[in-house]
Amino acid sequence: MSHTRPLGSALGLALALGLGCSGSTGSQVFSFHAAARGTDGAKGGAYVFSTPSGWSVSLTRATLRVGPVYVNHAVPISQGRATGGYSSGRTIAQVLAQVTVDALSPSPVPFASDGEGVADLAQTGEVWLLPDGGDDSTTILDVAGTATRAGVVVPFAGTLAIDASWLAPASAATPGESPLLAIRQVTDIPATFTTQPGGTLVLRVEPARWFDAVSDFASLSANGAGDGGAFRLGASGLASDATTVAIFRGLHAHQGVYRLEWQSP
Amino acid sequence: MRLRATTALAFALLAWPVASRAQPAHVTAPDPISHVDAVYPQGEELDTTVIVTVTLDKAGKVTEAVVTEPVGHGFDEAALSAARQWVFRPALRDGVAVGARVHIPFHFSPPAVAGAPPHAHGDVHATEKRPKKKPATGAEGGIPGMEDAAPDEVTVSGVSRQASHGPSDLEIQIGQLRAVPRKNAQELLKLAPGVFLSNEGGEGHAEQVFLRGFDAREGQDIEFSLNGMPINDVGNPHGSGYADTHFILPELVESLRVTEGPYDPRQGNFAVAGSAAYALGLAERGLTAQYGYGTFGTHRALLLWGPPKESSHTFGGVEIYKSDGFGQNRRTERGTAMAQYEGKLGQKTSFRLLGTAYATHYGSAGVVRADDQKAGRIGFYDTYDATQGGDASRASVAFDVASRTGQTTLAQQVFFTHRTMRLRENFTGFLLDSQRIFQSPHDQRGDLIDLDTTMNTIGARGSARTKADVFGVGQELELGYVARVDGVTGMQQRDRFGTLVPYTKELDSSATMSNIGMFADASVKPGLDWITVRGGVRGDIFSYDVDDHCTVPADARGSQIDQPCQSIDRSGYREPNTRSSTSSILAQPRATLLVGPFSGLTLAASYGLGARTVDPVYITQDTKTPFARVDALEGGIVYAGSLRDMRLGARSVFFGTHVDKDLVFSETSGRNVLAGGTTRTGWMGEGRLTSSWFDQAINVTAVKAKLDATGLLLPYVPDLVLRSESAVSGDLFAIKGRDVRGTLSAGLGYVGRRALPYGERSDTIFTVDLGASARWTNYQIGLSSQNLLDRRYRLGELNYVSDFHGQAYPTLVAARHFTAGAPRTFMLTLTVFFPEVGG
Repeated sequence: MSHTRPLGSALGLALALGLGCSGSTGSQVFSFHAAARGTDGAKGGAYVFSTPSGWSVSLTRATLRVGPVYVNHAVPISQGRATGGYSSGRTIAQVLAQVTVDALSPSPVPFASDGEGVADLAQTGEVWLLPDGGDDSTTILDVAGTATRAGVVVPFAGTLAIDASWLAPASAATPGESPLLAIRQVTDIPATFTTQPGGTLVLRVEPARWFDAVSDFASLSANGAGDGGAFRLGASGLASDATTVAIFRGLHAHQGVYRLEWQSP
Repeated sequence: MRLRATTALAFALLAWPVASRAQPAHVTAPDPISHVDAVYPQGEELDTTVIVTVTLDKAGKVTEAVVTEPVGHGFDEAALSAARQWVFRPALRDGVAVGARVHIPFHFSPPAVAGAPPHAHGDVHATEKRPKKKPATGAEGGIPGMEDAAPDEVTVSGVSRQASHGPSDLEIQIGQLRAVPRKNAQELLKLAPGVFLSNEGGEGHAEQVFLRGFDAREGQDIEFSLNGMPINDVGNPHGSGYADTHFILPELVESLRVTEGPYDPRQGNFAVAGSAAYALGLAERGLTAQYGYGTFGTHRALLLWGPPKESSHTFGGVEIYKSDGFGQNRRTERGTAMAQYEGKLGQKTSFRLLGTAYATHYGSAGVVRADDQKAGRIGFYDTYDATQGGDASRASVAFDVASRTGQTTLAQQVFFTHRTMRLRENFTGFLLDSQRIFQSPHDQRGDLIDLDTTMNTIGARGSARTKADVFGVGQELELGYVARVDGVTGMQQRDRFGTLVPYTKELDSSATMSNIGMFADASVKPGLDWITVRGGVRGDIFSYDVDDHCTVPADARGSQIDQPCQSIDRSGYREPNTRSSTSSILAQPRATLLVGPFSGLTLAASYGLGARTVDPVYITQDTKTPFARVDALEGGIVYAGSLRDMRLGARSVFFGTHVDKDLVFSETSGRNVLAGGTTRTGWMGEGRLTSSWFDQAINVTAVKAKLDATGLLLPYVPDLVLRSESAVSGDLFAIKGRDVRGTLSAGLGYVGRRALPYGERSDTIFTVDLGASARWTNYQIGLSSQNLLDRRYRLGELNYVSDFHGQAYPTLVAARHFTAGAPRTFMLTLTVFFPEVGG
C-alpha cells in the first residue's frame, strides 16, 4: 500500500545514516598475561651489590610472595562521576592472583591467572603483599646472603611475615591512620605505559633496594644464628632489630624496588 | 488540529432492540459491555446528535452500522467509527442469543463544554442520562428488524482532547490491546515507540524508562501525569523526577497520550524526552471480581466497579497483590485503591474528583556480576545482598472542574499528593567504605544505600481556551498556568552489610521547591485550510530552598572520630547545616507546522525547548542553573485513514535532541549524576491497524546518543527498540445458546545491543508474551504468559567497578553486571462480572 512507502523509505534512510549498533563509549576491557621476575644481575647463583651505607652484599636467596597487582590511572570516561571514596576509572588493570617470585632470576614467572584491564595510560601501580588466605604467618619474604664491610662479615638468612606486629601504635586522634591492610600494600609505584590488548604486564623486583636503609647488618646478631651460622631476621615486628625493620621498610619502597612494564605483543 | 471529542456514551440505555413483531415469551435486551468513544470533529462547534443504528449478531458483535439521522460535518463518520467498535451482550429470547438492531444516539457537545482539566491529555468527560427503566423490547431470532421504538433521551457530552503537537504526539487508545499481558500500568508505555523498560530495584521500585536515546531512569526525563495530576517527585533524593506509576491500576487506564519531545506548551518540568499522560476510565459497567494465581506464588485479587448509571469516568478499583518473586529476595506485596466520580453542575459545568491510595513492601535482588555467575559463585536469579528492597506509599486527591462560557472554556484543577519511599540498593558491594584516619579501624562495611524520603505536593493548574474566526477559519488560543509546591525531606545512609545498621550518613536534607509556570498555545490557520501553525511559549520559574543538615561529612579533616555530621570546620565551631536558595526563569518556545491532511497524510515538523530541574543536591546559593535545557527538532509524516471497518494509523519521524546538562548513571551514587551535554539523532516508525475483531500495533525506533565533549556514545541507552502487540477475538462455540468469546493476544519485544561503558555492548533482548481468554456470559477465564519462550535474558546491563567479595582479592576493574529478566511466568485468572450491581 502507498502509505507503507514512507515508513520503508525512512527505515532505509535510517540504516543508511548508520543508526543502530555503531560507535563506542570509549576504552575497552580485555584480559592479559601477567608475570613477575627478578634482577638481571645475579650470576652463579648469587647477586652481589653494594648498599648506600657501604656494605657489600652477596644475596644467594631472595623470594617474595606478591599479589594482587593493580595498575592505576584516572581519565575521563563515558560514565557518571563518582562521589564516593573510590574513584571510578582509577584502576585500569588488575591481576587478582599471587606468585612467589625468585628475585635472583630474570625468568618471568606467570601469575596464577591472567589479569584484566582497560586500554588506558598507566601512571602508578600497586603491589599488595598479602598472606595466603587469612594466615598471617604466611612467609612473604625469604632471603639469605652475606653482608661484608670493613672486614666484618655477617651471614644472614630468614623470613618475614607481615602481621599486626608491624603496626605502629595508633594515636587517639587518628586511630585509622595505619590499618593492617595498609602495611601490606606498596603504592605509588611509577608506571608509564599504555595498557593494550595482547600485551603482558611484567613486575620486576630489584632485591638490592630492600637493603638500602640497612645501616649495620651486625645488628642481626641480636636474633641469634640458625643452621649454618647465619643470623636470623627478627620476628618481633617493629620491635625487632634495626636491620630487620629496615628490610621490612625496604619492601615497601615504591621507588626502585618494583617496576611495572607493559610488553606489547 | 485534531480536535477529539467524544461521546462517551450511555451504554446500556441507548441500545436496545426495538419491538419485535413476534412476541417472545421472555426477551432480554442486548447490553453494551464495551464501547469506544467518538471523536469530536476537528474545528466544529455544533451541539448535535447523530443516531446510528447498528445490527448485532448472536454474539453481540456489530455486523453493520448505518447513520439513520445524519448531521454531516464529520459527525456522522465519527459516530460510525465509534459504533462499529462497540461490543454487546447479545439479546436473549427465551434464554437463547438472538440478533438485534439497536439505535445509538451520539450526542456531540462542543469541545470543552464539559471541560477537560488542563493537561488531561486525551481525557474524556462524559455524562449521560439513562432511562428510568429499560423498556421491554423484543428481539427477533437471528434477524434484526425492529426499528420502530425510539430510545429514551440520552445526553452525552464530550470534550476535546489536546490537539496534536507534532508527528511524535501520540494519542494511544488501549482498546483491544488491553488483552496483551502486562504486569503494571507502566508497561502500557510500550505502546509508544522507542520505550524500553528495565528495573534494577525490585517489583515495587519504579520502572526505569528508556525513550528515544534517553535513560530517563525512573522518570526524571519524562513528565508523567494521571488525569492531569503530576506524578514525578520533585526533589526525590533518589533522583528528582522519580515517577512511580505502580499506584495506577492498569485496568483503569483508558488511554495514554505520549508526546516524545517537548513540543506542547502544556508540558512542564521533566518533559525532556517527552511526557506520558494517563487517562482513566472503566468501560465495563457493574462489579467485576477477579482472582489471579500465577507462578512463583503470585496472587492477585481485583475488584472493579463502574456504577451502571454513571459514565465510564465514574469508577472504583482495588487490588491486593502478593508474589514470592522469581528468584532470591524478590518478594512483593502491595495494595492499590483508586476511585473517581464525575458529575455535572448545570448544563455547562462538569467536575471530577479522583482519589488514590497505594502501599507496597518489596525485596530486590539487585545486580549480579557476570563473572561470578559464570564461575558458579552466584546464580542467575540470586542476590548478593538480601537486605535490598524498599517500601513506598502514596495517597493523592485531585479535583477538577470545567465550564464553558460562550466561545471560552475554563478549566481548573487542584491536587495534593503525599508520598513516602524507602529504598535499599547495593550496586558496588564493598568498595566505597574507605578507611579514614579519623575513624576506628574497620574492614569494608558494605555499600548498601539506605534512602528514606517523604514528599508532599500541593498544586493547581488552570486554563482558558477561546476560539474566533479569523481569515474565515477558526483560530484557537489557550492560556494556562501551573503552580506546585513540593516539600521534601530526605536521608541517605550506608548500612553494614546484611544488618541494616547504618554506619554513615551521606545525605540529610529538607527542601522546598516551587514551580510557577504559564503558557500560551495557539492554533493558527493562515488562510489556508491545509496549513496549521500550532504552538506558543511557556515560561517557568523554578525556586529552591534547600537545608543541608549534614554539611561537614565524616571524612572532612578536623572532624571527630566516627561522627558523620560535624559542628566544626577549619574555622572552628559551626552549626551542622547549610542553607541554599536560588531560582531561575526559563522561557520555552514550542511550535509545530502541520501541512495537510491530503488523503489522510499530514506532514509535520516541530521544534521545542524543554527543561528539567536539577536535583536539590546540586543547588548552591544564588547559582542560577536549576535546570537542564533540551532543544528538540523533528519532522515526519502521519497517516490516518480507514478501509471498510478497519482503521489504520502510521507515522515516520526523524528527530534530533540536544541536552546541555544531561545525566548518566553512577553506580557509586546509585542514581544518575551530571555528565555534560548530549546529542541524539534518530528515526521512529509506528503503525496500528484496528478492526472490530483484531488490533495490531507495531513500532520501531533507532537512535544514536552521544556525549558532546568526547563524541562517545551515551552508555546504557538502547539504540534499537522494536515492539509488536496483537489482539484478536471471536466467537468460539456456544454453551446453552450463548457464545463463548475468545481472545488471543501477543506482545513481542526486541531491544538491540545497548552501549555499555568501556566500549562494550549488552546482549539483545527478545521476549514473547502471550495471553488467551474465554468469556461466557458473565464468566471469564484467562491464561497469560510472559517470556513464553523462557529465554534467560539480562534486563539491565551495566559495566562498572564493584567488589562483592566473590573473589579472593578486591576487584577494581570494570566488570559486567546485570539484573535478571523474569523467566517464563504464567498467570491464571478467573473473572466474574455482575453487570447490574449498582444499577
